[in-house]
Amino acid sequence: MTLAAWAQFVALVVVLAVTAPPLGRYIARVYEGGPSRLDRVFGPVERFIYRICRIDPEREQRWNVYTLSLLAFSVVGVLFLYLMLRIQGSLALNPTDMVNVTPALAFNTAVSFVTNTNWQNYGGESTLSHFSQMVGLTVQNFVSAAVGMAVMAALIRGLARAGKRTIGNFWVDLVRTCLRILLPIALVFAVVLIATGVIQNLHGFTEVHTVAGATQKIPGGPVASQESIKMLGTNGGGFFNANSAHPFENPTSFSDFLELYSILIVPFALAFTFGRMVKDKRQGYAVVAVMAILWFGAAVTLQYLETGGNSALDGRGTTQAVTATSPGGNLEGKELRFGPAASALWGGSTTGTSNGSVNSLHDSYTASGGLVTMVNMKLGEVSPGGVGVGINGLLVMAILAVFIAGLMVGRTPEYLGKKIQASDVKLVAIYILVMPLIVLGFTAGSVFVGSVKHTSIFNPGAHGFSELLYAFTSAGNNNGSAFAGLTGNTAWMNSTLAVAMLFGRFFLIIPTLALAGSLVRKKHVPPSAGTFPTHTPLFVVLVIGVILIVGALTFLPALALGPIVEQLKILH
Amino acid sequence: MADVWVVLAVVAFFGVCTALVWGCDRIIGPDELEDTDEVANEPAAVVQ
Repeated sequence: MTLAAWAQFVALVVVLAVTAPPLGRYIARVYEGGPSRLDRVFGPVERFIYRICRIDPEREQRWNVYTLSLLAFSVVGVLFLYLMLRIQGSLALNPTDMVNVTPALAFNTAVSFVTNTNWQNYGGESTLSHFSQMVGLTVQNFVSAAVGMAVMAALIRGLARAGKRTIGNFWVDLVRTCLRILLPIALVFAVVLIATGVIQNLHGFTEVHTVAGATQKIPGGPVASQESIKMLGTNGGGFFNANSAHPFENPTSFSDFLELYSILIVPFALAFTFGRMVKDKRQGYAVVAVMAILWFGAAVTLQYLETGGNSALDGRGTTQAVTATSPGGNLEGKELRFGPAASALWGGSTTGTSNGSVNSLHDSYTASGGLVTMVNMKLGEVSPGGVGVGINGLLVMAILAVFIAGLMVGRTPEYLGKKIQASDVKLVAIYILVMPLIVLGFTAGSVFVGSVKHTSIFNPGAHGFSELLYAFTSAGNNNGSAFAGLTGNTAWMNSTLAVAMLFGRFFLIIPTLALAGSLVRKKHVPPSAGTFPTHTPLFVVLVIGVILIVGALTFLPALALGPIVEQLKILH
Repeated sequence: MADVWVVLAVVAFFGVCTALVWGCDRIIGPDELEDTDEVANEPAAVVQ
């Protein structure tokens, strides 16, 4: 890694360290619901929404009612977005005359954006109208992120409260998350992005004549407004097919830095939210430490691998060294204005969150680099994870860690003063088993499908398997990034990826909320000599160990067939 | 026709989700607070 790469990395860490704690405290105040100076601004709007939607904000819900409310909201979201995409040709704001989206692709896209995955089997500039992008996808970028954060708030309440039954009101959490957290931040960030050169207009294609005499169509659109929430909500679905590698979405190194920061800021801030809501800041610091160590490990490893270049090219008349005119390293599939270091830092961050946006093609990473991105997702995206869902995954792993620690020392496991019992561990087991079942099951099944072998996979052998494994890993973890070499717009891939996204989202949310419902009933147990402290470095190491062991034991055989064998072939 | 299948698939999936909610509720078990804490937390006038 060059000095410039380290400088960028350190600058990012410093900016995150300065801004995440205050944002986390603000978010905690939003979910705690106490009086705020901002009530004068947001209060009337909230009351208006509650009145027209007939929501009683004072009425809290048990976990099952909370979950059913979430499911009802999501099913309506999927069907509404599906309908919009199917009839977009007849709707307004369609200056590029886009036709209706086909059923399979509309299904995949609707599920993708409602589940916060933002997997894209389409090119935005060649498939969707501005109306679909603005009213369909951008709205889902806000509300799907808000759903994830609402689940987090419910789980933290489950840990913080004692001897209660309710974990909050889903509709209130949804409204407050959108109105008080996501909308204001996204608005400010959109303006900042416009200042850096990201476009924001309602134009269609502008036809221009190039210097070489050819004709080129330059796309327009409301990009900055979608870009800001795409990053902040860890959604990741680009306005354009090239996502954040496109110069209209991410024009400069500075915009790249800002967008990278915006992927990470909310997930890291939520760890501080957790510490404040459970009234023990040390617990929040422990969570931040787990997130930061895993993120640091992935980001630095990936930067090292990509700036090091492809060893297969060594000694074949090529140079991958840093020169005055080249950033060096593995430049295939990367934008020259970012270079391998900034691309790899993005890759390590977008796969550790559930963002999935890309500023380079992960398909063109070195074999080991591709392995890092896949492992990052397979660990459950907890470094630092998507907004809300990342910290949920980490807390589930923390509960598993105290359970294992309890087994080792022969004491009843406790977390934050709550006894962890058999029912809680069963819910944790469901949470942990669902994602590998989806990822491995669909990958294994797809290998035998004719359309996958002959249409979707262009690269035979280990790399083709890596592309397929990556696709279902991304869908099953609601990440949304693609290895880019796989053709996803087929009936099989559209439908199976959509099903993977649905299970990966809701079959993890349901046991999480059930866990919240189980924990909220329990009384706090005062700490005793046998209580395992959960704010110490030892606990941080234990949680990281549990995350790595669960991930490694589950996925190592599959990874051995893809990126690991690719790397071994290069070495051979 | 494809639209009908998609709608049915989405509704069926969320039906399965509802079944999982029910299953998780069974795992958690009955609410032991039902007859104890709630009464204890009510204002005295209500208890009488």
